[in-house]
Amino acid sequence: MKLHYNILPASALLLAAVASTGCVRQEADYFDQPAAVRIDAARNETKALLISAANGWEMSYFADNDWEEGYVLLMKFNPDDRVEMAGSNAWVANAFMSNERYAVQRMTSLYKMISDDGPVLSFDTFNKVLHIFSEPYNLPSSKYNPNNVPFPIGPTQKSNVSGEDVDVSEAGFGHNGDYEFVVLSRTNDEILLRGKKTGVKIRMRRLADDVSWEEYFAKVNKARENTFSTRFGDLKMVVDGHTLKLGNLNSGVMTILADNDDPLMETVKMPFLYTADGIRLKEPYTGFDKRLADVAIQNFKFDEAGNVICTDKPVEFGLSSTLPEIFLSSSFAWKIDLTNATGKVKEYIDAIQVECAAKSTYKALKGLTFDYDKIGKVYRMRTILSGSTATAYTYGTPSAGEGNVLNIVYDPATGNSNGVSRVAGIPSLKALIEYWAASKWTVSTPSPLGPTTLVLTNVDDASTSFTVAL
Amino acid sequence: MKRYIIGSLLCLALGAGFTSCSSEDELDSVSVLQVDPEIDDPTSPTYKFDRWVKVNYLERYNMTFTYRMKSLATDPNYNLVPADYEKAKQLAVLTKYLWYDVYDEITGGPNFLRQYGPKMLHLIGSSAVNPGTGTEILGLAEGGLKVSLFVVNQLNPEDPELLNAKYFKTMHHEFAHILHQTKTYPKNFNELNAANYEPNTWQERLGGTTCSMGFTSPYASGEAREDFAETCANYICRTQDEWDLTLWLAGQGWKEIDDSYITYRLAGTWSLWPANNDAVMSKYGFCYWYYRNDDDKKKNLKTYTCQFVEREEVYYVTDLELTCDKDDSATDSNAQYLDYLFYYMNGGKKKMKKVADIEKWLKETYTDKGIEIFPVDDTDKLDGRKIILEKTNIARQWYASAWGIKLDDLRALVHQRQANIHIDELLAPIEEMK
Repeated sequence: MKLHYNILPASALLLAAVASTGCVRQEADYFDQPAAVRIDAARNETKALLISAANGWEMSYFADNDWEEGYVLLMKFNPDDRVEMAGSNAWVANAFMSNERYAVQRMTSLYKMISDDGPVLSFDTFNKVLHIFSEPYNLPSSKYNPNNVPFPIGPTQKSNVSGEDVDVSEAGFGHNGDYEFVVLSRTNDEILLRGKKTGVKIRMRRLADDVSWEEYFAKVNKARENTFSTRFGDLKMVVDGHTLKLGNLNSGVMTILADNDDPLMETVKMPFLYTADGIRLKEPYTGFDKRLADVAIQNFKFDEAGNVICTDKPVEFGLSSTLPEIFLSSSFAWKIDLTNATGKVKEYIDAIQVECAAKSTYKALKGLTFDYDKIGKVYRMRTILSGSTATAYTYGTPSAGEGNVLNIVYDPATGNSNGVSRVAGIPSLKALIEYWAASKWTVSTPSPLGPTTLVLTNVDDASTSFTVAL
Repeated sequence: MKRYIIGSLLCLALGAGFTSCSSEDELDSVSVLQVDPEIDDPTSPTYKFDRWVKVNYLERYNMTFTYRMKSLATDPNYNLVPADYEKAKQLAVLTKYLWYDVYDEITGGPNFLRQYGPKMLHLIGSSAVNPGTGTEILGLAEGGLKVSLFVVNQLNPEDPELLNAKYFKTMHHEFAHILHQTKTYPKNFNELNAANYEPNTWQERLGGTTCSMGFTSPYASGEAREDFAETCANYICRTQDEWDLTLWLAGQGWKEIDDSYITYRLAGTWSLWPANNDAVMSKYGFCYWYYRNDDDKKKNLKTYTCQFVEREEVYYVTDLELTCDKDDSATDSNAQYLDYLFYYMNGGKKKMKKVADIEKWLKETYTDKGIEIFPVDDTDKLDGRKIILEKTNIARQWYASAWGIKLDDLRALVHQRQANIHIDELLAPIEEMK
């Protein structure tokens, strides 16, 4: 039988190979304990470390997908295998059927340090706060919500057939999140984990003893809501000589485009999360196709001025647009805060109020706003008086100068008829407009990544400034 | 439509070891196998439950009841979650009450399950969902040693139908596998439906249709050994009403219409999500038809009625009516719907689970009003009812001859216990553990 002739030589070869394998008995002892004993020790030491955090740990958790943000979860480990977890996000709200997206949900379950792929932290009974990310079921979306959860925010996509948004089925996968983690490294205050199934890296940090979990999540959620705004366009980051353009920052999955990469093909989608003191990316950013391996930025912290500072290496971080450009954007209408102007601008505003009070049809200055008329294609300043409902515009040609310098150039003699007559009727208003035009103004903001308020300061007279807000 | 699998894996242990290394070194005094210390701390939050498990499973049957999920004991190809601790306690006492205690009583003690029962019961919180087919595994018996019970986190002791369909049936299905892996069942069972098994597409079949072919469920129509386990488990666990319905469904012919637009219309008409609608399926099956009026009769537009529905493994029939064209389609020759809302669609919210209720409804709705209704032709040429009864008889004889168990006594005891589940009473012994 031919088959036997083919098999026999191969079998003989295999047997010969096996038989000739010798035992090497002179191996040096590199470790003084067997591997299992060492893993057991590491397991016990890790458990002791987990328990030692009296107020628990902050886990920066990411599931293994590229469509959703990461979430911080808080965990308090007890010696008796109980772990109390808390979360404050839409998916946890769904798990608890809560209509409050940011309500802090808590649940206690069991954990175990096991010896598996090294020491492994296993959450081996169900906890809604964590295991919601490991469930294998299709996720509720705006097009599929059989259980009527409060936040059906699973992904949808355009149908090739109808062109309408349809549910993306995650059946079998769900979020694709881990609940068992290999311990990669540990210090007293930080433990690095690797998801056993997905390989996603997870960080745990010791929580300070004096922080309440509710306060912690309030900070996280405030940062999530307020740090970035898409109103002002993409952000720009310069690191190691590379310019990165950051978009979609309020989605939880930012897009990063480096230098001259192709936006269509080479944009990197990077999930990230907010902690109470900063931002963490799912993994170090290394460019499309890992072309910028040296960049490797991942962690950011907030400073008191509202800036986002990279803690991995020095980076310049800001909006792609300058503040004068944002002031001049056709999308915005800026209103002067009449109560906090200083120096010469305050003097003019006070004088305007006196002049208005003298005329019964004017009474008082209620507001001054700057915007752009997209139909008439002209920049304009509107004067609003409490004694008149007439719409009064003064036209101008404001422009951006060098750096953050703004030229506030409006012409007292041009505008709609109400505007022209109003400027003529209020001499101090005319003087203010002429003062603005004769000076140069530096634009700054207390919230650099979401400048809803701008402070304009006279370049030559720092004591003169005023504030505009959206 | 979800499809559930309660399957088995035959594990083959291969022993390979032609060569061994001899050594005169002394063995290390420290074992490399670090056994988890037994939880024996009365202050532990799980102490009472662990003690109860130890007494009622380990000591009585020499087996482990593992409620803290061990991922190494699961198939890594599936995304799974652990069981909820409180649900695990509930399932632990229900498993004892409806499986272990039943066999103890029928066989006269724990020795039967000690000898033939699984060595490990492993609880898993979710089902195992196959992304490709959408099928969900509810239970798995592996090599006669381990039985995995899934979807523990959906366990609701207040819902006896779902308890029966998702958990108790799974237990008896898996145990039937273990038993027939020990002593094989008669091979003539496999011949009864040999030509009708569909191992790859069983999940696309409707329950009414598979009953009429001689299977107790669509999953039974996948392969013979699953058919055998399904026959045993469904006969043991389905209530008499449910079993009567199974045989009634098996006696019908079925007209299947596979049209997602029907679902769209049903859900849209009722402004509800599909899962909440009694009639909504991904495929529609009817076993009666009639002409609504003379005009329909002239055009040969049949109105189908008496719709089969399966929801979470529970079968029932609805009053959904759907009018189709002469080609039995809900669309015309140009693939256009007969009209915007179909030619006619009605009902769908009346749910009937007893044969007597169905027959009463047919009589009152049609016959008594002089409406002539016709059964759908049974085109499969199989006497489904007869085949199911033959299969049940083979199982009955096999239980008796191979195991000395009277299947009907076992069934009666299971039914008696299923009808008397008081979860708090069952859980009480856990709290009483010292």
